[in-house]
Amino acid sequence: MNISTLVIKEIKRRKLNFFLGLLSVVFAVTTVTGALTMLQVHDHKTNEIITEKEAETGERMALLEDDYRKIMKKLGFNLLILPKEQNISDLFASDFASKLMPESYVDSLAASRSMLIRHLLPSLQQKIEWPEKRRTIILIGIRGEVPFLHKDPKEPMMIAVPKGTMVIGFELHDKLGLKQGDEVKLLGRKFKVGKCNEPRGNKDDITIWINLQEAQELLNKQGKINAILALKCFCSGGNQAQVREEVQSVLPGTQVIEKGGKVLVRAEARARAAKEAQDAIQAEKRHRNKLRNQLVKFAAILVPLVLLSSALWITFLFIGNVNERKSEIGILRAVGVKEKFIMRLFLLKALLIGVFGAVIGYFLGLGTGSVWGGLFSFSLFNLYLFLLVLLFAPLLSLLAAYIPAAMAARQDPAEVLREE
Amino acid sequence: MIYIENISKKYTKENKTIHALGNISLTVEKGEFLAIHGPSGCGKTTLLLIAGGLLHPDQGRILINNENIYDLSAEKRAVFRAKNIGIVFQQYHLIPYLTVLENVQVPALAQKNSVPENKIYEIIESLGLKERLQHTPAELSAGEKQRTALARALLYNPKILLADEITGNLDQGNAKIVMNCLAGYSARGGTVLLVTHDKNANKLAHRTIYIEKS
Repeated sequence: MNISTLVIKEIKRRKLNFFLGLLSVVFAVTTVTGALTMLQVHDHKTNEIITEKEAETGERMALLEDDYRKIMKKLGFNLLILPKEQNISDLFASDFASKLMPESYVDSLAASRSMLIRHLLPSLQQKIEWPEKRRTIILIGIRGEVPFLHKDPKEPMMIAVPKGTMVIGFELHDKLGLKQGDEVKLLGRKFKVGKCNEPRGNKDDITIWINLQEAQELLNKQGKINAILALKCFCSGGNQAQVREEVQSVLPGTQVIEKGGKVLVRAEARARAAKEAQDAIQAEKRHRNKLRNQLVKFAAILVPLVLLSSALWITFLFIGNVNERKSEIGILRAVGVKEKFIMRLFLLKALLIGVFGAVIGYFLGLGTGSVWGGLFSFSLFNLYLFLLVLLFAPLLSLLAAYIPAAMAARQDPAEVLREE
Repeated sequence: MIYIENISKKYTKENKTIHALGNISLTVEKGEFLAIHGPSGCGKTTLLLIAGGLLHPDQGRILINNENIYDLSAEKRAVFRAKNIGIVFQQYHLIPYLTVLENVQVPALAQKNSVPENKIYEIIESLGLKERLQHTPAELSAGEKQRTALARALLYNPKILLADEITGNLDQGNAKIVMNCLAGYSARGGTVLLVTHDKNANKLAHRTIYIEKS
C-alpha cells in the first residue's frame, strides 16, 4: 500500500471528477496550442503566398519584358540626322548642334522613297542670350512635319509654329510672368505668346519655339537647319544600320544617331513594372501581418481567460473532492498520517490531471489549429512547445489544486470523526 | 499508563456553548480493558478523541507513558499516534474504493516499516475475513466492516486501542467476535478503552466507569 495505489484507486472510483478536471486542462492546453498552431500555420501560409507571388512576379516580368521587346520592335525608334562635321560630344555638351546644313536636305529626304522613316521634323537650334529679358534660352525654329511625297498624307505629328507667335518653356514663362496672349520682344522682333508649356524637367523648360523661317532670319542663318528629327523609324531587324544606310544614300553629307534609345525606354518600363510587383508583394505582406496581429490580439485575450477559467474550475472540482473525502481524510489522520501526506495525495492527483491533460490537449490543439488553418504537416509538431506545455499544464493544475489540498491537510479529523 | 487529569472540553456552535466534558480525571493501567458507559451526549466520544491525541482539550493534560501528548506538535503527535494508538469507530470509516486487504494496510501509509504479509493474513483470518480479502466495503456486511476496521486498528499491534461504540451496529454474533478480539488483545498486554452502551462488555472488561452528562 502506497500513495500511488491510493490515488489511482480513488481516480478509478471517482472517474467523473477526474474526467472533468482532465477536460479543463485539455481545454486550456488545446486553446493555447491551437492558437499557437494557427499562428504557425498563418506564418507558413504567408511564406507560401509570398514565395508564390514572387515566382509569379518573376514569370510576369519575363513575359512583360518579352512583350516590351515586341512592342518596341513594332514602335520603331527615333533618329537625329546631323551635319556630317558635327562633333557629337559638342552636341551633348551644348544641347544643340553647332554645325549647319541646308534646309533643302529635308525636302530631298521627303522626296526619296524611304520606307523606313515615318516622320521628318527639321529644326534650327541655338543657345542665345535673350537681351530683352536678360536670360539664356535655347531658341528652336521649326516648320512642322515635312510630309513624304510618295506616302498618303496623314495627320501631321507636329505642326509648325505660326509666324509671329512663340511657344515658351515653363521656367521662362513662370519666372517672367508671361501668359498666353502676351506680347513680348525677342532680338528686337515682336512675338505673341501662343502657348505656355507645362514643366518637363529638362532643357525644354528654357526653350522658345518659333517659326523656322523667323528663327533663320533672327539668327541670320537663312536656308539653314542643324538637325532633322526622324521619328518612328521602323525596320524589321530592329537596328539602325539599315535606316542609316538609306539616309546616307540620299544625304551623303550627314550622320545619323539614335535619340532616346529604346533600351532606355524598355529599362524604365521594366523598372516601373518591377516596382509595381514589389509594391503588390509588400501590400500582401502588410495584409498578412495585419491578419496575424488580429490573431495575436484575439489569442492574447482568449488564452489568459481560458487559463484562468480552467484553474478556477480545477479549484472548485478539488474543493468538491475534498468535501467528499472528509471521512477518508479523517481516518487517515487518525491512523497517524501527516498533513504533508494528505497534501501530496491531492497534489499527485492534480499532477496526473496536468500531465494527461497536457499530452491530450497538445495533440488536440495541434489538430484543431491545423484543421482551422487548413494545413496538415508534421513540421507543425514543435518539440519545444510540447515540452513547455508538459511543464506548465501540470504546474497550472498543481497551483489550482494547492488551496483545496491545503484545506484537506488542515482539516480537523476530530470534527469529522465526531460528527460521523 | 494513561493518565488523564482534569480534562474539560466545550464546543461552541451558533453562539451556544456545549460542555462536553467537565474535569474528568482517570488512570488506565497497561493491559487494562476499560469499559466506559454513559448517556448519549455525555462526552464519551470526546474523551476517546482527546485520549487519541485527535482533539485538544480546553484544560487538563493527558500523559501516555509519562508523555504529555498535547505538548507535542501536530506532526509529532501524528507519529506518536501511528506508533502507539489504534482507533475503531462505530461508523467503521473504511475507505470505500479499497479492498478489505488494502483497508487493513492503510496504517502502513503512516509507518516507516511494513508489516510482514503473513501477519496481515493472520489478523484478517483471526477476524474471519479470509474470504473477503478482495471485497470493497460496499460488498461487506456491517459486522465484516467493523471487523475490517478492527483489523486495521490492530495491524501494527498498538499499545492502546480506543474503541467507540464498535458493537452498536452489530448483531450478537458479530458483537461477540469483536468483543472477544478486544479481550484477547488486552490479554496480550494491550490497553483498551471501550466506549459502549452494551452491558455485556462489562463481563469482559476489567473495569467499568460511568460518565454523567455535564
